[in-house]
Amino acid sequence: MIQNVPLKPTLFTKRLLAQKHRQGRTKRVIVAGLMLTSMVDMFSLLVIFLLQSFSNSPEVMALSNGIVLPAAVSASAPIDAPLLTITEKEILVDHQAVGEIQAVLEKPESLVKKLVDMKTTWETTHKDQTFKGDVHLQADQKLSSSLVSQVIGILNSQGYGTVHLAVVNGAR
Amino acid sequence: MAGAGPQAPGSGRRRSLEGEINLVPFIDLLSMCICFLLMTAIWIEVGSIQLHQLFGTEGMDNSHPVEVEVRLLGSNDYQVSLEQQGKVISAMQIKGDAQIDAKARVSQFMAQVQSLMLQNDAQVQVSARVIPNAAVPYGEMVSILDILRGYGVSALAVVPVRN
Repeated sequence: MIQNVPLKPTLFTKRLLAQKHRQGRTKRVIVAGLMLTSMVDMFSLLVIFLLQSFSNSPEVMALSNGIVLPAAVSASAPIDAPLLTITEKEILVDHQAVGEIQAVLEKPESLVKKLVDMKTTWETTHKDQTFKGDVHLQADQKLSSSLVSQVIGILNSQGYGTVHLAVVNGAR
Repeated sequence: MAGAGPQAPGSGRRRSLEGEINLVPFIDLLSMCICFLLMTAIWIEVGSIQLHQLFGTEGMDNSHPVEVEVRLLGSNDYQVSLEQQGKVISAMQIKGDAQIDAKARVSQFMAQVQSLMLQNDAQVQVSARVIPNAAVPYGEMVSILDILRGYGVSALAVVPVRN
């Protein structure tokens, strides 16, 4: 009202009033509860599935940093055996550096000593068994094949006759 | 919503025993378990190709009368030969070109060897040796070993070379 003169409701105010009226009529109070039981079920199943799948996985070989392994289709599961790694610079036995590649190939005494020690340890811990000579070999795919073969030759000379070349399962 | 303690006793003499278990800490624990398991999972599947290196008098045994020799002359350039009882039956040089990879040709050669073995109906064990080359990367040599293994070669060996 302005100066006691009633205002005529315009079309816009009419619509607003009608809307308000409608809202007042149809207003509902929604109280929603989140069902946590199904969520807990799902989480439990996920945990069980993950634990089950990890417990079935075979021996896991630790990957060394900076090494790109070659891919192979017909690879078999790794076994429990010592690991010899050839990076672009050096040679490692069970993640412990033995020396630089060229130095080790020229004078393999340090590598030979390490291999003999490992063999002696195995023979003392497995008295009733014969030494099988299993060893894992991880090498970068860009390395020269003859260089890797020379390291395999050193392994063979110390009785490690079964060399397992580490590969990534997948397409060549 | 879940997550409340036991209900307040009613006005009567009976006491309500209905209660809801607080699920929130349970969900927290399960979430942590899932996060831990997913983060510690090893997504790269590592396998191995077994080499049975022959040394000493082992090379003289007759358990593998058929032998395949793959000499790596260079990248995409190999010389393959099939030997039986020490005699060379067939030998060929395999070179890759733009159309077909040398590894695919090695596969074809091995398929021929396999069919030959099946024709003779002999349960012979085939062994193979790979002679590497300084010009050939290790990854390529492993691919060759993988092909040989895929064709049922039971004993694989790499000849140590110094070149």
